[in-house]
Amino acid sequence: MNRWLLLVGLALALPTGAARSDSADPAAGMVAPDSVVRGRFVQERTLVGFAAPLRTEGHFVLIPARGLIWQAETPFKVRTVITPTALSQRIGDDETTRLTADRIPALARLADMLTGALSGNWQSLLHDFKVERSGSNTAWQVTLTPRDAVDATTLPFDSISVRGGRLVDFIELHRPGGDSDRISFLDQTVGAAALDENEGRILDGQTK
Amino acid sequence: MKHLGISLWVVAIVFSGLYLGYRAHQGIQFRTDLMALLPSQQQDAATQRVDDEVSAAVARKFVLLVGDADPAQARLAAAELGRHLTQAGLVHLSMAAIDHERLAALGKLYFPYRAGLIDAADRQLLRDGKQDELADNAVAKLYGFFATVGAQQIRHDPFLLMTDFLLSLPLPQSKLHWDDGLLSTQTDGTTWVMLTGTITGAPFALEFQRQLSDGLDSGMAMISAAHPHVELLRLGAVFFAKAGADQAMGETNRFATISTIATVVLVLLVFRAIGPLWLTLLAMGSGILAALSATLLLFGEPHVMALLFGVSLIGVVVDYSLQYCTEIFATPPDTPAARLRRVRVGISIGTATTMIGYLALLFAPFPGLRQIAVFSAVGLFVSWLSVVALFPLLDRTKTPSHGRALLRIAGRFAAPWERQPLPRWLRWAVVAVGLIVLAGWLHLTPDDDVRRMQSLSPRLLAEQNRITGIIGKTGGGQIFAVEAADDETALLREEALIERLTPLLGTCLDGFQAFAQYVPSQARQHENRALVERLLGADALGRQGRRLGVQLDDATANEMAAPLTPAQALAGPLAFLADLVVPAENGRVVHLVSLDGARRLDLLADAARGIDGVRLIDPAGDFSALIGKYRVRALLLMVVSVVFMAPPLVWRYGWRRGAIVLVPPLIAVMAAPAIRSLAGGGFTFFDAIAQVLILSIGVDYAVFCAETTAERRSVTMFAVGLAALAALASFGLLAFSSVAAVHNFGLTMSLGIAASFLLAPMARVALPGGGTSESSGHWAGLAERGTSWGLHFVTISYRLLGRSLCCAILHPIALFFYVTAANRRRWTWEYLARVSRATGLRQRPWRDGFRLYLNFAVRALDSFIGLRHPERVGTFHIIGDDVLADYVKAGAGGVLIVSHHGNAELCRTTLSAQFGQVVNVLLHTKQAVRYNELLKSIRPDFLAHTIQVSEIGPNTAVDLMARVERGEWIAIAGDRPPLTGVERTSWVPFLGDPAPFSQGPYVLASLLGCPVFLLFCVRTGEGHTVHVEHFADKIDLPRRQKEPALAELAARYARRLEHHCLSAPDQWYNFFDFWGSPTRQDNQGNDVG
Repeated sequence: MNRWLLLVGLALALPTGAARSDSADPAAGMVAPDSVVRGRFVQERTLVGFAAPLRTEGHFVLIPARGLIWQAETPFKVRTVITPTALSQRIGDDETTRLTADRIPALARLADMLTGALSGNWQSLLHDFKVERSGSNTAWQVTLTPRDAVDATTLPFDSISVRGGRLVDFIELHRPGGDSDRISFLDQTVGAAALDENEGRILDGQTK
Repeated sequence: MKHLGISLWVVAIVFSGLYLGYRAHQGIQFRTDLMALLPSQQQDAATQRVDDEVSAAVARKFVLLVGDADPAQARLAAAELGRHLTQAGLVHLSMAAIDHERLAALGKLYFPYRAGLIDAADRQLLRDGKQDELADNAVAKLYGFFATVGAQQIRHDPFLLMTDFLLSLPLPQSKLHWDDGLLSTQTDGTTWVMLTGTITGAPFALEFQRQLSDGLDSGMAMISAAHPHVELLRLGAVFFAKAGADQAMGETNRFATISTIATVVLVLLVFRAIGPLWLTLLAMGSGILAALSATLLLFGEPHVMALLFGVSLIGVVVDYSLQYCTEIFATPPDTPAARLRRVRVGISIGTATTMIGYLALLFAPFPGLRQIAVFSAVGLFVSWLSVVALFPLLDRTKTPSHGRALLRIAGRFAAPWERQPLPRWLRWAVVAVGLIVLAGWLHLTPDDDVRRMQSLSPRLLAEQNRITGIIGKTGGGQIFAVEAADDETALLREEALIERLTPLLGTCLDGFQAFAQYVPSQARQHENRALVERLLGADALGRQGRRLGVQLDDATANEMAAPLTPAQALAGPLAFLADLVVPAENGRVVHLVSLDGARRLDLLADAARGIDGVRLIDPAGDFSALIGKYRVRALLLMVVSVVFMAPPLVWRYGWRRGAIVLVPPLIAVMAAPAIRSLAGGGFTFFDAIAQVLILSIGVDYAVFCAETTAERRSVTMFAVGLAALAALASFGLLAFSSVAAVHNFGLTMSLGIAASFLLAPMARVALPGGGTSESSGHWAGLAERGTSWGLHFVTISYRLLGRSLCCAILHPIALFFYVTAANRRRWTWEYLARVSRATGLRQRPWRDGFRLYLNFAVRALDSFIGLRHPERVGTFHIIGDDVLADYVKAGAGGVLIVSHHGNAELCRTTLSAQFGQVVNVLLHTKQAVRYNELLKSIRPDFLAHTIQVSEIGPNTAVDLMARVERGEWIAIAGDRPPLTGVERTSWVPFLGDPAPFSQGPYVLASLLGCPVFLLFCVRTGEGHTVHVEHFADKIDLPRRQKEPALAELAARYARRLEHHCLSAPDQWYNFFDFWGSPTRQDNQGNDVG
């Protein structure tokens, strides 16, 4: 479904530790597969016809080999977890969505793309997106435009812009119809703090 | 009779030939699916139809995977193939999963009805009054990381009810993903593109299978040209069916050929002449021609499996012609007609019992078995007719000069059984067999798994495994069938079922697809709508809008007042749901709930309990259970067979020997599955059916052995051996079939046939106690054979009813004895046949025989009256008594030779009264015992004048001489069976053939030195005529050369007896084999040979 392709697009919004590398070689892995990236995010969603943008704040934990925990804190506690085997969303205490890879194998492919993007492997994205890089290694900009003709149900983006230096700092998504998302990343660290028990369980719990 | 047989045969053949020609011209269709052979399950017709529809729907599905290393090539090839097959009208392709277009169409379909469409979680929140929570969730999703909701969406669906509902739909998913409009996946570097759908024809129709196969081949040829490395995998019932049909047809042809060739070679080798071969082929050919024609006539489209089994009939049919043909080896050589006469009865009984065995299959509610039954029964009958009517006419075989060795070998199989007592090694062998049978039956494991009965083509099975590996589970075939009077009820019942199945997800099944998940029942849609109106009305809407900071449309805009109906859904993007609907009749509705990965079928079946109209269908499991039930029934069939076979056997052999004849086949029947089970095989339904057939074949062999005589034993055993070899050549071949069911059947049959052959001579075992007790036909024998209460019955009846009515009562009594005394009846017929030959009158054995029995009964009655009420005995007309009177006046006693013709007993009282002389009666010991009992109750005074003799020796002679001196007369029977040991017989001509006549009377007369008269008392109408004939004044036997003199005397007596017999043939009551060899009979006239 279009969701997964959406995921692909948004995956690119994740801090691509790849950009951290000084080398311009896209193939060089930036974030080691088992290193832990932590940070905070602020997401602003502008929807056409809405009086004000919807703003959400929270924190995230990313381990390229294992997956991503995206915890929004305000105004709603929504935790989204993506791993190679499953995707789940939890609002408050209730799990509202769970999709597993053995029912939707495309999920595994998505996770691969995620990790690929995170370790700076643009190859897997080249198939679906045109990648345009500009700027220097310390302050770069990448614009992704879908290759195939866009229709609202497949790839609901007109374009995606990514800005970053050592890590990804900012992502902007534009959708057809006028909606747009802006996500800023703050206070990011790599490898400083290991996963705690709870987080480990959450990621492992995905395999259930 | 002969001409009737021939004309019947000709009519049958001509008709069959014409009919077959006519049908062949029109084209004969054969059915090939195992389904047609199957029994209708034990349900009502409507349910059966639903089950059939369901099975048919499942059977029409197919999956093709087109693979190539290059994804683009794979996609192109698949698209071309799909187009090719669709254009040829062979398949309907369906999209098994949902693509974006369809999703959009789905949204459009559902949108006007959205107020009624809420998923389970949301509905539960509303029911619990947690509408605020629901609202919050909607907003949270809007804020979420993977928001699928855009501005438009939330405006139309502020609480995301529609979105949740769409997401909750169990849209078919698989390992494939959508790629350019086709489902595909990649494994190991190959891209596989799936084509799936339903075939347009019947999966089990041979014609359609061929068309589909051709279509696929041409399609593959076409795409291989453009895409050389493309691979094709296929899965579907139609492919398995075709492979199975090809296999069955191929095997039928192969087996028929080999079987025929083997039989031909066997016959040629054994007989070394072409004559028996032609005869055998004639019998086989006419039988099969008629059988085929009858099956086509009765069943329209016969099943190819029935033909396969029917082909094995060749082996059985050849039995009878072999029985006849091997008679050529018997000595002395004889005319064809005479040879046929020797075996006719055996062949007829064999045919009858085998036909009964096959016809018992008619009771099985298996259409396939019924076809086999008809095919075999008709084939057998026409073959029998050929043998019995045509063979004597056509047989020109010359007496062979070879064969002694073969006969000797055959004789060795039979000889041990006839020794008395059985040789030790044989007794041990029988015990060993008994132990094997016991062990085998204890070890027996029934095997009803229907999957093991068909052997699915291994190549296709491999492809199926690959396909399952590539695209995921393909479903186990279990479904719930939901039946209702209309759509709404069906949906309500489905919803009830869904509620029960949901907790079982993960433990008992992986998933399910139900119509009600896509189109809730109207009741539910109403409920949903009411909840929304009540809880998420204008107030809630306003709050939501304020929260989001947006102007929300009225959620009820563009809504339909009426709920969504199944009909509307099927018309649009939910057309794939048509797979879940089964067309039923009478306007009833049947929905299916398909299950994925169903495991604990018992718990699933429980889940349906209590919901009307819902039941779990597990085609393979149900069928296995049914097969198990019928396996047990097949054993009952065998009992039915035995019950029906028993009457002809008892009729022919009497109770005891009839039971003995059944023993070898029954042992063979038990032994075959026992041996197989010890060898590790399971006991399947087809083994049970084989047992029914082994029984009839085994009875054949046992009957042949029982019918034969000691001299012809080798010939018969030889014939049985040949028959067994021929049967093995046919049934044994089936053991080589690759269809598991047929293989089991063939193996069991082979074991059973071998056992039947080895055990058949058991039917000739000498029975202890001399076999069925027979009397020599003395008038006391009637009382002996019946019971003493019979006599009381007669007394009372006579007193009450008088003679004529008593005679009327005697009819059924005589009939009973007539029908149940097989041997005696046979000997009576032999006697009557000789009479008719002598007189030249046509004989009617049944009628004349019965009259004879009736006369005997009347004679007993007359004797009784004579003893009890001598005054009522009727008129007596005495001829020739003047000579006797002279002698009586002279005061001399003498010997009266009486016979079993007429009622000599009556004379006793009459003559005594007339001449005032005592008549003493000489009787054999055994008869004397009974006779004395009788006398004691009626005329005790006669006891003194009844002399028991076991031999006529000096003591008896002295006593008798004294009586004669006193002027008494000694009555002795001249045509009684001779005593063994002491008494001698002379073989003199009687009614055309030499018969043994006792020398006793003449020896006695010569010892006593007194005159001899012959006494014949014949019933004429209501009275009696007594013939007194002077035989000799005195009998002097020369000291040496006694034999010729005695023979001459006996011959004279025999001539007189013959004269009287011919004048009143139905009054001679010697119920034993009068012309038989004396060594074969003991003094009771029992056949011990």
